[in-house]
Amino acid sequence: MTYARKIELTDGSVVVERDIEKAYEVATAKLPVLVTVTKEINEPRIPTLLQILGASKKKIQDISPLKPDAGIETLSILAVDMKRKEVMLKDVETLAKIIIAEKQGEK
Amino acid sequence: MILIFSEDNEIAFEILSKARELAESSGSELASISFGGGENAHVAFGASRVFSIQPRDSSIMPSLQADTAVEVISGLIDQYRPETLLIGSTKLGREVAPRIAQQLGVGCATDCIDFSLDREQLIVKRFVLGGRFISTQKFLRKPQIATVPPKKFEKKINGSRKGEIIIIKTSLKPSGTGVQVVETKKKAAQELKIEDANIIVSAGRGIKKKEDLRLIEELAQVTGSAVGCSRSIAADLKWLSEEHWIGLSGHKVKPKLYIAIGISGQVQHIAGIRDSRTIVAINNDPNAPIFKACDYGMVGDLYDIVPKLVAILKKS
Ligand SMILES: Cc1cc2nc3c(=O)[nH]c(=O)nc-3n(C[C@H](O)[C@H](O)[C@H](O)COP(=O)(O)OP(=O)(O)OC[C@H]3O[C@@H](n4cnc5c(N)ncnc54)[C@H](O)[C@@H]3O)c2cc1C
Repeated sequence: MTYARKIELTDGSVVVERDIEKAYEVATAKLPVLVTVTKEINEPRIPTLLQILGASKKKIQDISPLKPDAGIETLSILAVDMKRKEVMLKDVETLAKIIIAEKQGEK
Repeated sequence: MILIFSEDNEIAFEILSKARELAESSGSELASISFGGGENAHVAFGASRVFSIQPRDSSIMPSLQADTAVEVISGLIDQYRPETLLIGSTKLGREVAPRIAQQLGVGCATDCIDFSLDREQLIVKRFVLGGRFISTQKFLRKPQIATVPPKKFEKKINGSRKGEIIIIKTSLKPSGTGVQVVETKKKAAQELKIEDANIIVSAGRGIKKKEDLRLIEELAQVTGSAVGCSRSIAADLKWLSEEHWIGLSGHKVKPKLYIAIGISGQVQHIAGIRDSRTIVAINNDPNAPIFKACDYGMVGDLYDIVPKLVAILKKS
């Protein structure tokens, strides 16, 4: 179940509210289920000082990564070069003229 | 065969127009899938074959679920063995594409911004690493599955083109996953579709108080533009709603004119405005990165410049 903005767990099943393109959709499914969530799902709480201190005592388990086979090969990764005019203007009048000219050529 | 799918016909037409070039340069057939009409338009935009998916036992087209789309498209792939599948990058498309790829054990490249075809080998370009880099990638197996963002390619229509329309009647009820839709709540019609604006005046953290957004709104009004903003304004301060948010994790726009006011120009913001025709920036820090990414820049206090600008524009 994708794009969940709310999740509710009831006995043996889950109810989610999905944020889809033009609507919110309430859907349910029996467990086990894989749910992906959107950023509205929660506001992360700020941990208290005690919790931050406590975190350093927790055990961290290392897992060796799976060898992914994405079926895709990367041929190159290049920095985006963004060529812009980079003209610096000194006065607001010139700025206004440029905006008017761009607006007229807008179509 | 190159096969196209988007439940949003506008996006399907954009992809078809681009794919037509690929099909011609490689001698491939171009086909598309339509759920809910527009078959003739699919042909005019480039498809030589359209699979028109229709419900078997009713005249009403139910709203399309990802499960259904996956089943129908997988069925077509089995039967017609397309070497390339291009899917519109809507929420539905972004779910459907990787699920099909996963089923078939092939690759899926999302949000591709450019395509080329070398015989049947598809080469795609996509932004990676926070929008800072463009990666060129190829597929190791077929079908080659890619998603295409909206408004990336120009629609090109040719009304005299001929094509075959194949009607496929199916139950449109997915058999598989046990997910049940209980209720659908329509979203209030979005007032703003920032992608459609010709001019955008955009506000960043240089604005000190929420009330001061009024300055930006006034400028937007005299220039007939939409108001955009950086993530700080939408996500952290919540002064404007998500519809206004521009950038890597917000909306990607390509207006004719983009005016960035009090926006520093971090790469994640730039990633959303890169395709704008002209970018204007106002910022009081001469070293702000936005000045390396704009056509016209002005160093100064927005609280001084914007009201003056509004006054001049009002007069002319
Ligand atoms: C994974 C990820 C995704 C992200 N996605 C996005 C995204 O989609 N969109 C986005 O915008 N950001 C995104 N960001 C955040 C991004 O990195 C920046 O933090 C953000 O864009 C900064 O917003 P800003 O320019 O409004 O604020 P700031 O960086 O604080 O810039 C404010 C600017 O205003 C100028 N200023 C201050 N006072 C005045 C004045 N009086 N007159 C004129 N200028 C003034 C300052 O010089 C400064 O340059 C993302 C970050 C991450 C890590």
